[in-house]
Amino acid sequence: MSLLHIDNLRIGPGRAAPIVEELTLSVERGETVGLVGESGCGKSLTALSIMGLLPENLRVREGRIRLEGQEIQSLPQRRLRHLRGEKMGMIFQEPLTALNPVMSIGSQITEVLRTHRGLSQRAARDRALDLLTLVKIPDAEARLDDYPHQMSGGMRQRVVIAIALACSPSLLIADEPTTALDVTVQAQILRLLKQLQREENLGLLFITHDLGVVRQVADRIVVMYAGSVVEEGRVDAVLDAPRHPYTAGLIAARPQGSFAAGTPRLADIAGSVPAPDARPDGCVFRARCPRAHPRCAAERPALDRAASGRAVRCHFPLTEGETA
Amino acid sequence: MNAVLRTEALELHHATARGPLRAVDGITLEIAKGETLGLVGESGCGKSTLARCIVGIQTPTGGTLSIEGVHPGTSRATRLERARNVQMIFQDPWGALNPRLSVERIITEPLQVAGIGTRAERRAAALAIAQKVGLSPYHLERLPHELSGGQRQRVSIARALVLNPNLLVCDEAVSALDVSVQAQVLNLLLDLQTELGLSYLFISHDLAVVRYIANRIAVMYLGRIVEIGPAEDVWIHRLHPYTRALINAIPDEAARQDDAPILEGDVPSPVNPPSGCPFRTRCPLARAECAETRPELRRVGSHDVACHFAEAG
Repeated sequence: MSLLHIDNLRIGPGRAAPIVEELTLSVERGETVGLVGESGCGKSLTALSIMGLLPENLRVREGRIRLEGQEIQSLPQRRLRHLRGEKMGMIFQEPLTALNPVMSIGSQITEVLRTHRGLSQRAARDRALDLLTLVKIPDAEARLDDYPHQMSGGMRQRVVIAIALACSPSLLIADEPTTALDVTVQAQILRLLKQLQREENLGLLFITHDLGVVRQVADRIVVMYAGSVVEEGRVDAVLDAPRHPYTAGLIAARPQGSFAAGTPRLADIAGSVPAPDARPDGCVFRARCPRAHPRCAAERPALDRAASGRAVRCHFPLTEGETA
Repeated sequence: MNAVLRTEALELHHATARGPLRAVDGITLEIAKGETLGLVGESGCGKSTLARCIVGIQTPTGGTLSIEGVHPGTSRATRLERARNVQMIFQDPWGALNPRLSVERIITEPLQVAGIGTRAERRAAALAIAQKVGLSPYHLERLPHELSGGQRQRVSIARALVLNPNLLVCDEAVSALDVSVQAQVLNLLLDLQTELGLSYLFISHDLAVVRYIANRIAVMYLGRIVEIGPAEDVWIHRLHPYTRALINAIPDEAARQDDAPILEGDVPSPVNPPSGCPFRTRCPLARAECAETRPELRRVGSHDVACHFAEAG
C-alpha cells in the first residue's frame, strides 16, 4: 500500500473545463517524488487537493486520493483538519506569507502542538525548541520569541518546515519551497530537507519548475503539462533520456554553456501553455510539438506505463538517444 | 572611446538611524558597445540599486557616471537625452505595464514623452518595433492582461527599444518566466543585440543564464564587485571564494556531489558590514588578515578579483 495514492484525479470548476485531468500519482514512504511543470500546469492545485485546501470554486470532480489506504478526497473539513498536521504537512514558496506576522515563531509552533497533541504550554515549548534545533536554527532558544520579520528568508523557511514537521507527519508536500530563496540559501534548505526526509522516513512530494532542483532531491519525477501527466519515471532515466517531446524541450531550453564562447542559440519551445478552456483536442501539447502528426489531433494519447515504472503520454515518443 | 557606460567609484549610501547603508559602495566598471555585462549576486547585494543609478531612477551619492562619454545632468533636457541612450526592462512583466493602456499606447508612450514624431509616425514605429520583438499587429490592440507572461515581456522590450537606446539594463528580465519562454526571450535579446548593436547590463541571480548570455561577468557582494572578467574565465577559474560558492550552489552542478561544502549563513547587513573583507564571515579561507584590510580588486591571471587569497583556492 502506497503512502499516498492518487487515482485518475480531475479538478475543476463546475461546468467549465477541468484544470487537472486523469492525474495518477503515488508516493511511497521514504521516497521523494518531484512534480515538475511550468506555471499553470496544475501542479500546485494537485498539492492543494491532497491537503483539502482547494480554492472555493474548485473541487475534485472525479477520482480518488488515498492516504495510507484511507480515501480522503471526500472527508469533512473537521477530519481533514486532523489529518493535516498529524499525517501530512505542507511547506510553501513564500515563507513570509505562510507565517503569521504578529505571532512569535515560538507561538506558531506551539499552537500546532497544543491543537493536535493537546500538549501543555511548557511541553509544547520544549518540543518547539527541539524542532528549531532539528531544522538547524542556530541559538534556537533565543529565536523562539522572535517574529518572522526579524528573520532572514532562509530562517523563515526553516520555521515553516519545523511547523510542518511538528506532529511527525508521514507525508510532506513542498510547493516550490526554495524558489524565493537565494541560490546559496536554497542549497542549505535542500540539504536540510533531504536529511530530514531520511531521518524521519518521510514521503516527500516536491513541486518545482526547476529541473536542476529535481535532479538533486528526487528519486522519481512526474512531468505535468496543461493539467496532465505527460511523463514519469526514475529521475536520472527521465532527465538523461526523456521520451516525451515536452520533457525533451524543457531540458533543451535550459541555458548551458556560453553563447559568446560558441554555444548555439537556445532550443526554445514555440508558443506558450494554453489556458484550461483553450486546450486543444487530442494531445494537449500538439500545438507546440515538433513531432505533431494528424493522429495527435484526432486522439488523446493515453499514459502508457511500462513495467520499469516509466510512463509517457505520447503517440510518437522519443526513442533512446533521439532528440526532439 | 567606445564605452557606452562608464562608472567610477559609484556610490549610493542611504542615511539610516543606525548609520549609512552602503547599497552601492564604490563600483567602477565599463560596458563597451555591443557588449553584455552580466551582473550576479544574491538579494541585497546592491545589483538592482546599481541598475537604478545607471538608468537615473536613483541619484548616486558619490562617484561618477558617464553615458556615451557624457555625465548626465538633472534638467529635463538631459534626462530625456539619457532616456534615449539607456532604457530598462524589469523582472515582473505584470507590474511593469500599465493595465489600462493598450499595447500600442504602452510602446508609443516613450516617443510621446520625448516629443518624437507625429501620431501616425509613432504608430508606424510601434508596429516596426513590435515586429522585431515577435508581436503582431493583433497584439498592439490588446491590453496587458490579455497577453501571456512571455508576450508581456516582449512588450516591455519593445517599449524599451522604441527610443533606439544604446544600452539596455535588464534587471532579472527573464527570472519570472517559465523555462521554455525564458529561452524564447533570451534568444530574442541575442538577436536584437546582433541586429542593433545593443549593449546590455544583464542582472540576474541565475548564474547559468548569465554565463550563457554575457561576454563578461561581474560578481557583487555587499555593494562591491568582488570578481569581474571575461565570462568563461570567471566561470572556469572562479577565483573568489564567493563566486565558487555561488556556482557550487547551482542545483544541477551540485546534483551528484551531496557532500560538497555549501555556504552557511546569510548575507550580513549592509548597514554594519564586517570589517576588512565583507565576505570573511562566511568565507572558508578567512584568516586574521581578512578582518584587518579590505581586499581591493587586483589582476590575477586574466581577470580581476578582490580577495587576499585568490591564488590559494
